[in-house]
Amino acid sequence: MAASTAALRGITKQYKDFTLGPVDMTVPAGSIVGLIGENGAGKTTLLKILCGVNRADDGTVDLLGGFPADAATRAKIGVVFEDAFFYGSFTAAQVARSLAGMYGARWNADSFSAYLRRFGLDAGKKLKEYSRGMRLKLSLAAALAHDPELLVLDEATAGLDPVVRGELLDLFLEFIQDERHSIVMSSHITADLEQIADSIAYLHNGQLLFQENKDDLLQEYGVLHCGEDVLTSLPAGLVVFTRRGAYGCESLVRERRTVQELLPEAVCDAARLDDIMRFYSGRDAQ
Amino acid sequence: MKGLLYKEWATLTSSYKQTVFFIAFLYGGISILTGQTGMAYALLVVFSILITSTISFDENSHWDIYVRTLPVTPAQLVGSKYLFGLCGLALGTVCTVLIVALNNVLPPLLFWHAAYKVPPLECLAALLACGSMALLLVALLLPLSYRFNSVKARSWLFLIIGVLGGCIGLVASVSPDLMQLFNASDEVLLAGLVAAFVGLLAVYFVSYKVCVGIYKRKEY
Repeated sequence: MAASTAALRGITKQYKDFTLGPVDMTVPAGSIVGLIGENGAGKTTLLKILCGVNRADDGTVDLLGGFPADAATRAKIGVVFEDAFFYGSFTAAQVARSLAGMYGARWNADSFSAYLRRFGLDAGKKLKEYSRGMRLKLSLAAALAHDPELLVLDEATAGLDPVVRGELLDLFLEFIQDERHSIVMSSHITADLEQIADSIAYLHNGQLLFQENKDDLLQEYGVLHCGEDVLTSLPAGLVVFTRRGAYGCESLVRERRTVQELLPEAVCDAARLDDIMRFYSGRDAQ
Repeated sequence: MKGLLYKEWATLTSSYKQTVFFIAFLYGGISILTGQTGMAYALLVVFSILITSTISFDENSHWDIYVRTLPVTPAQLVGSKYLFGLCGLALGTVCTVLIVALNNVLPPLLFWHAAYKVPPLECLAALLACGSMALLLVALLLPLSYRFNSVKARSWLFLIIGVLGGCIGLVASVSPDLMQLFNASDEVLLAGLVAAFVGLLAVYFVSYKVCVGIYKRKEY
């Protein structure tokens, strides 16, 4: 078993008004990597490069020991994009028949049928008659039926109700039980990632600010509520960004335990992923 | 490749099955009822270029992005479109030959003029001319669609046809003698049409190769 399912090294992609990278990111085998970032931060661009949709201007992608441009390597991944799939006049049965012809022996028709039953999808119904949630479930069934080693999900849970999201998150956790399997998923719903991800990669303005173990990350960062005078007593480097309001300051700090020891009177809550994104984007907006 | 061919087949049949039957019956019906087979030959062109419209479906559903994550090569993806273009040409040929054969067997059913029995060589010449036209259109439309998109490709096609038509008109006005080539004997004209068809098959193949190159460089 490889130590990492995918490794991106020095990936750059230049557009007219946006530059991605250089980005270094790894997807360890048997883990879920959550990719977070604001709209336009480059998440989809990065995932497209990882899956072989687009090429990087510079850098290398090691995908399951091969390259994304290699069709045989892509046979080992399953991809769900937010709104890219088969044409709406197709039925699930037609999708299966087409994909079976592309994946060959890897395609497991029984597994696909089992996912359809599990998701309550009618194989004879046209995709355009499905709800958004049903289409995403079908995309997922299609992505899983050939037993991929890496599942790549781009906003796969966006716009779904909490019940369906819960079902899908359970499925992802089941999938990851096999240590050959890994998931990299981008999502704006950070609560989902807090629930299932092992590590979090934060892409901000095309730059990867960090990729850290989720538990360590949530332990490391804190949101400190205090007055301006108290804040200045902290050593440099601990405060990422401060929002000043009529009732004092709210700061994102690193080394939460240290801050709590230094300022026992102040309130320093554990930061959520939302907080981390909010403060980092606030810092760079200044 | 099998999966891609099935996908194209399913796209066309789910979207165009009724249209294809309607056009075949309309063109065939008019040809047989009036004893005028000219319209039937248009089926070659219509059925051949149907495949180019699947690119619009691919764009609308963002299949073009999704398929890049599947285990198929650019040559297979583009090749399936070109193969279906040839299948359309074959289907159009079969339909046209059937309509012409029926026309030759049946009397004109609607109008008073005498039935015109189409000689086999004339039918072959018309098939070659329309088949060449169909090959040229697909050979132009597919690379243009992959290079730009399906909507812009049609604009480019109109532009190219306009320029080509203008050039032919210019040649005809400058060198009227050249146009006398069309007054050559039937055998020479038929040989010319066969040569043109074979040449356009070669152009079709070159177009496929160019299209694969364009597709490989395409970004989404």
